[in-house]
Amino acid sequence: MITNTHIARTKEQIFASSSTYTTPFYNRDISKEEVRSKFSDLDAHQPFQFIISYPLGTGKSFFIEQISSEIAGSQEPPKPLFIKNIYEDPACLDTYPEKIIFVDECDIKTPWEILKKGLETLADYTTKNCRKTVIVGDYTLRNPELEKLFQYRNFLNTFEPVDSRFLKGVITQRSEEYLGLQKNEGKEISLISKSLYEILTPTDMVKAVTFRSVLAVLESIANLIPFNDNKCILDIELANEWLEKDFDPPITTQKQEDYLNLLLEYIAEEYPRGKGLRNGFTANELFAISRSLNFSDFAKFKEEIISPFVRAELLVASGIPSYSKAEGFIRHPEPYYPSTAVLLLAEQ
Amino acid sequence: MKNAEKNFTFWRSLFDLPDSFPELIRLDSKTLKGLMVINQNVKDEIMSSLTSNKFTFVTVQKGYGLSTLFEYMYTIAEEESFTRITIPIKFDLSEYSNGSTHRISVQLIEEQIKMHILNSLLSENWEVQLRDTYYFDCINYREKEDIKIYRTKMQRMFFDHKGHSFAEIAEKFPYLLKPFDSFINYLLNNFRMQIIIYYHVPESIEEETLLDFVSSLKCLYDRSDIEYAALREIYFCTPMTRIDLNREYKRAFNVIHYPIYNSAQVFTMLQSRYTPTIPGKSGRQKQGLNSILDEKIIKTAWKNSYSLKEITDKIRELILQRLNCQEQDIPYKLDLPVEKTTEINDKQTEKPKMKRRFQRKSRNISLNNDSK
Repeated sequence: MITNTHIARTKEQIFASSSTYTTPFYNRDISKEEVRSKFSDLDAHQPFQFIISYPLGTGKSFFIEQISSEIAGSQEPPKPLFIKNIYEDPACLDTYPEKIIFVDECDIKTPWEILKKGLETLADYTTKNCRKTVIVGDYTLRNPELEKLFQYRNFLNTFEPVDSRFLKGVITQRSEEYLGLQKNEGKEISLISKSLYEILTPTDMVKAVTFRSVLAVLESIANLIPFNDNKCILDIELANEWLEKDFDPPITTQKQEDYLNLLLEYIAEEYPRGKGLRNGFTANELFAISRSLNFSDFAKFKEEIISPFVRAELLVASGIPSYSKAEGFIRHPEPYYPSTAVLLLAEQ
Repeated sequence: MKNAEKNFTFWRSLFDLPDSFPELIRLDSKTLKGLMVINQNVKDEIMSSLTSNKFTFVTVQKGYGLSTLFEYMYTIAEEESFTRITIPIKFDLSEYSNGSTHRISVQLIEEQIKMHILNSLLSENWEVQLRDTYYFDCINYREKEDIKIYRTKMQRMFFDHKGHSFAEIAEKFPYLLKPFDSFINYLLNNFRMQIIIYYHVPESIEEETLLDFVSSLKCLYDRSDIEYAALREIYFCTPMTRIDLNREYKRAFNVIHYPIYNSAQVFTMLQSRYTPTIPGKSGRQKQGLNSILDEKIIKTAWKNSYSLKEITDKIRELILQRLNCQEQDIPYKLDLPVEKTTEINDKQTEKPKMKRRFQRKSRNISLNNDSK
């Protein structure tokens, strides 16, 4: 039996969402197969620009680490360049030691100017020198202005979403690894209640669910597990305790608090546990919910609510980032989905 | 309230108080250590975190002295660096925001860290603490002259007047050309010396600057192999910028929340900054602020949702209300105005009727919280 003490001692490893701990890799078999098949029969004299474009925190860097040595024919997984390296020092492409150039961090974390120039440099270099490259980033890489830079582009089409089956598999595998349990193939470890799984990985919201967000919430909840020999189960009751005691998003005005309560009420009535929220909310829909709070205009609403809520990780932006001279780099475009913490609050 | 302003000027003049009273003017480097009102428990927690955690976040609510706390903790670290065999480095992101022409790049961060370390190695008499050969190697000392003279000369030549580029300085000190991880690891392996980088991330930082900074850090660290004990990082930020930093570059941080100041602490700050004086036989005599200002005014002005500026603005407002009287009625010691102040109570404004599933918490973890 897995007890509270077991999990309290190993929660940082089991629910790790960064590279601090070396966790075992799980699943993504279909994606790996697609990569293998696309790299299996390449023309040595033709450039090949393979793009992996999926949201931040879904495990792309971890994934590429699993497959990169195989496709590059190297002993160890090649260390990727970052797009910023290429921008600051284009000569690093000449000195990169691997036969395939791996490039990471092509996402909203990089300023637009650096991203565009770095990708232009990469695209030109790989085209002129008939090189193969794997480019990893978020949906920014699907922006038409950036996509068109790569004449020989090919996207990874399958990247298994973070659904409850995937999450259960990850938790089971990590629990076996860190608790020294026998590998019981096919048998899941029931550490998390069914209803909590429904909220962590809502079926209709797969586009917005990331490992990073889910595991971070689970680790926070697990911080409340007492050290005793009772059977460990993370459930909605414990999640509520976390919300009550520790959840403290940095929203600072009464209007923001009022809006959050309106949003919670709306989600609780119309989309409990995210059911039916396939397409997320547009900014206009979120504005419509705020009617009773007398926001002077839409622009003010976006400034006072949408941007701070995305920053505070209450809303998740899932659109394709873009750039305009007037507005700059639009990093967090609609549609917006409620975060895991918001779904939990709406459950109360 | 015209009378009130006039009376306030008169009242201040009785005690030689400056026009800035009761504003909490920012402490400068000379007054910082003496006048800082620090939560000693949290200070100890921060020092302890640095010994056992590679990464530490210290979050301070907006408007509660984030910059001052950063400067204070860095000052302490600098004073203790020789005995602890550490080199603290200050990296203030406010220098790169709000229209700054300097862009944060990987090269900039790396060069700044290296130059700061070299400057520190030249400024202290590390020769009494560190192994000669390796230390002399770092500072390119060839024993042709007295080492103290050499260090002073090098500092003056390369660091006192900022005109030399990194490349120029590296010509004289080849140690600077080591790859970043080797450069840092060298100090740990040969001197048991630890580098601690203090970052100040203000709330006002633009998103572009923050992302530039984070992406540069990632480029620098993810491709480096720095030993665990060689480097510590501590970030002073608000709760919002902490989330931004953590989202963009997730690492295992120990998070410490610096509590908001309670009314007693605010009064202590005022007491330490303002010393009223009255005429005496041998010149003006100092008085405690509490002899002319009732603590009830600070208690009434204080709210856990107010920033320090809002609290002192409220104190001023209460003082003016009290002094809205005839000149002959100006008191020596200010107490609360007789009329009840009609504060705008957020709870009284009309709110939409809804079930409140969420309420903001105060991050005040001080034991003596006198929240209203």
